[in-house]
Amino acid sequence: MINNFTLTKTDRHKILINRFESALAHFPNHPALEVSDEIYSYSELNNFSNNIANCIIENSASECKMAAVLGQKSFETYAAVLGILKASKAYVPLNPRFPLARTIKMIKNSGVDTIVVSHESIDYLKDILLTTNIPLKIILPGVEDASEHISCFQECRFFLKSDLKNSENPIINSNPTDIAYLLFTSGSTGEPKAVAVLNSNVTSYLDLISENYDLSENDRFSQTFDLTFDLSVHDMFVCWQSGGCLVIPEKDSSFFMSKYIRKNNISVWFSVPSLAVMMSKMRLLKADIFPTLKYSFFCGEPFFINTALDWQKAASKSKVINLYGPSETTIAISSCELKNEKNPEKNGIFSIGKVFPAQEYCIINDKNEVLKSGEKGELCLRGSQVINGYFNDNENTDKSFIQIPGKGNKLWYKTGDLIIEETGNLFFLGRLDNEVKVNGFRVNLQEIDYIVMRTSGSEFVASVSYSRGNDGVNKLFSFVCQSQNKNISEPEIISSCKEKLPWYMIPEKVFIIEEMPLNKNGKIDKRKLIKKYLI
Amino acid sequence: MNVAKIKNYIIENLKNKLEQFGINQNEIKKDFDFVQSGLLDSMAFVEMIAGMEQHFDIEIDFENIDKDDEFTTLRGINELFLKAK
Repeated sequence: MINNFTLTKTDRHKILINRFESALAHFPNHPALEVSDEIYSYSELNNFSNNIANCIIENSASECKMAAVLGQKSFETYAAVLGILKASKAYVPLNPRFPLARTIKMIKNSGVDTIVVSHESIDYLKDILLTTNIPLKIILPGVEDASEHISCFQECRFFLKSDLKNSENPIINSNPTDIAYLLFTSGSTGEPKAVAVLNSNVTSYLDLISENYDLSENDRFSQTFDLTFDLSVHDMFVCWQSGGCLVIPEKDSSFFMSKYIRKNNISVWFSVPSLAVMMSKMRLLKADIFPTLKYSFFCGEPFFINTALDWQKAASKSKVINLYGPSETTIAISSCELKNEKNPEKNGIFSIGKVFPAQEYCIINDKNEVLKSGEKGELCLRGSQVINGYFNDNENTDKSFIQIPGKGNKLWYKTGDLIIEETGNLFFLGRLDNEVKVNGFRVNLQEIDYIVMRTSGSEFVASVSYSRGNDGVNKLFSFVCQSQNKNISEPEIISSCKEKLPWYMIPEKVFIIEEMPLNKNGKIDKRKLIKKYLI
Repeated sequence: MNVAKIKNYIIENLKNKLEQFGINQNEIKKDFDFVQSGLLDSMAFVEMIAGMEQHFDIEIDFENIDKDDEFTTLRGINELFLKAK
């Protein structure tokens, strides 16, 4: 058996959980997590996650390489992430705010046999169990008595707080090439794509961050992202590899983020730009209002230069950094730091900067030919942060991971992002396909179309994302052509979307129209739709 | 500006949304929460408040909103605007 002791030091360094373990060895009594008015030290968090890990090791099949975690931002949820990794498995985050059908798909596709559930999500768990008959092992690390919830689910095995007694450090036998976490992103046919990120992918990213930014055990890190969003991996593990403290917002509400930063002396901030836009709209970005911030990272959607400058005024001692990267390239793969003057921008959007030194990029045209600097095309990436492909999904893997003539045998990941490189900086110009970003979430417009088509019975459906303001905040709109054989209503379509899609994919408005405008090629003319109905 | 005018403004503004969600305007009582109910996301809520600031010519002090104020409810919005008047 390969374990931590037989691996070389370099390989041990490439295992995600070892980042936490090494901070634990240095700072056992240092606060690691502040959540719901409680402070947990590294050793307290470690003991609790060992309880979970040992229960998984004893009960989950060893050939099952993943376990899921279902919960909001609670102590148990974070301990579960660590516990699953300590059990030498990959974690699959599930979101109690997602529609049930989607969550069940995620459970089935990942093949997990164990779910760790935080106490506040127990009702959602019941709904899952009522809908499927997968024989699961359910670990409820914060629940003392669950008899009223679980007695009717005979096919499942339950483990409560009192069953979790073994807090010894388990032997970790993960390899750098094992999956560390599995996330699902929007896919075109209603099937979410599973992004499998390896331990070595994520530790490459963590190395880049620790080499380039001065972070220490005295830092206090924000945690704004849902666990189903890969940027939360930065929140947790950049913090825990530094020995710092992860501070969970009291209420998961963006309205109180300004207070949260100030009250908790946050020193490292990370969010989507939309959050800064919103704070700016609420006039909360007053000069020098965040004196404790030393780094402010933004990622997940285009960052407008004016928003960046507003933030800089409020956080005058902070470096403001724009990060870019699809989940397939692990958290972020390029960066640009805001300077006092002459910031690279295009159409008001701040540059995504330069690809990290250890990673490679090229820009190609639609014939997969490599373009020169100054020519716009699709960004392709490869390197230690880029995943090998989608989990159990050769079709999507073959589409997105390709060889490029003259660039060797190794595969490149096609991002679908339209990019131009000028004077050494990359600029995001838009998407090449039907994928858009809404508040940082990846949304494949075809996935919405698919649901709208099925509900309406109409063949002519189109969805667009459009920002009515000049702040880059996108909203989704769908257009349906009235079909002859079925009367459809907007509420009917919206309610069907709510049943099947996560909240951020539900259209702001559905227009039921008489005629769908087509372009010369017979394709739906989205520009005309926007012009006629949205401007 | 009074409670009735605030409610009228909101209902007029959210007419389409309410229809989409099948919510009757009589259901918009004081403890109706525009964000928790899923009717608006936080950004849309802020946009609505910004529209109201303009309409009623009032500036809200977001700085001093406490998390317990529950200002995403109709009651909360009323308090916010009537206090600022």
